Amino acid sequence: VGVRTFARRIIPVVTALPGQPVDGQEVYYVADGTARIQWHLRYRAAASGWEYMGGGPLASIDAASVTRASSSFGDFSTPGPSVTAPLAGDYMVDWSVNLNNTASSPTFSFFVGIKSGSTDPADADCLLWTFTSAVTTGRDSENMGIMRRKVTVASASDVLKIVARGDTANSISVSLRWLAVTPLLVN
Amino acid sequence: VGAAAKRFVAYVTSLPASPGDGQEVFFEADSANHVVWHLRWRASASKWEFVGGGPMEAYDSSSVTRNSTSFGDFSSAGPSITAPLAGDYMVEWAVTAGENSANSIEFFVGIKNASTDPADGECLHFQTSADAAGGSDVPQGYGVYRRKFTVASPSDVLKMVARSASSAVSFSVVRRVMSVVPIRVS
Repeated sequence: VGVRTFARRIIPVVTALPGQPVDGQEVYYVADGTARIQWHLRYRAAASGWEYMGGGPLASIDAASVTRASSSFGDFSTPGPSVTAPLAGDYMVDWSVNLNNTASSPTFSFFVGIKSGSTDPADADCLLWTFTSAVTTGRDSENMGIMRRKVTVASASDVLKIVARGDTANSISVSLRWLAVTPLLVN
Repeated sequence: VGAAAKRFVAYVTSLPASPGDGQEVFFEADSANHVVWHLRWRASASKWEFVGGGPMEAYDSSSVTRNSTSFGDFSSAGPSITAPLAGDYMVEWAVTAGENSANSIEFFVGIKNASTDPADGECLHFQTSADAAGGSDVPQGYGVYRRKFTVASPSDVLKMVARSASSAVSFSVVRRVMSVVPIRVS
């Protein structure tokens, strides 16, 4: 009688990463117990970090219409949305907003990016809209944008948050803000 | 006996030559960015199926232009991703159309697969008439697209290209981003 033998790979479910991992060690890390988000991570000694093998994103959404009128990066009239990174390291972050421009002053730009901890985004890593007089004067425009960038989180529990800047003369309105976060290499 | 044995899943930079059905590997797709794909061999398909992992990503924030009715590079080429394996991939790409000054502008932005240009029907499509442009400037538009691509050979390059429609009109885009995850590879 033939016997089929199944070898099972036992991967523990953890809420904190092992303190002294060995190369090739794997875990299912509970990134968000409430939302049941688990990340399959594998320790790579050569990189001194845990590489991402699979799992869903941490996500946050706010459908509300909010505004910002400042040339500095900062919160909308209602901050966020945001995700608290459970681990330090590199993440891939997707984010999106729906822009509703009702400004009448011509020629300005508007940036929407991800603040990591206390670090504002670079303009080049942001969604960008640029308006000139022919577009803005007497005319509303609505435009969705979505972006994906690698973002480094310096410390566990740092917050990844959507922030924006434009100029002081124009209040920009956005809605349907969301971001989604998956790890690349964490510790 | 319910004893569990530990099975080793190899971390590889090239796929095993003679895999068995159900064999798994962690394939290092992009060592610099720690992108690793968890693949499982399916004998009936003679392919490695994608089980998990992150995307390979390429990005260029700069504003670039193209002025041709043929598909080709922007004034600064790319972005592009070299597919590490042959097979099927899901490719996602996006651009923001710039503040273009021509009226009645229409252009396509797609993915060139090695030497094969995209079909118009598989591209982002931007089109604005003179009326919509208000007679002078074409408002910005944003586009994101996702399509399956078959890569014939390892190291083939997937690259963003563009063309204008019926007449050669210069158009600009900014914030070009693309990302790639496998579906099944070999």
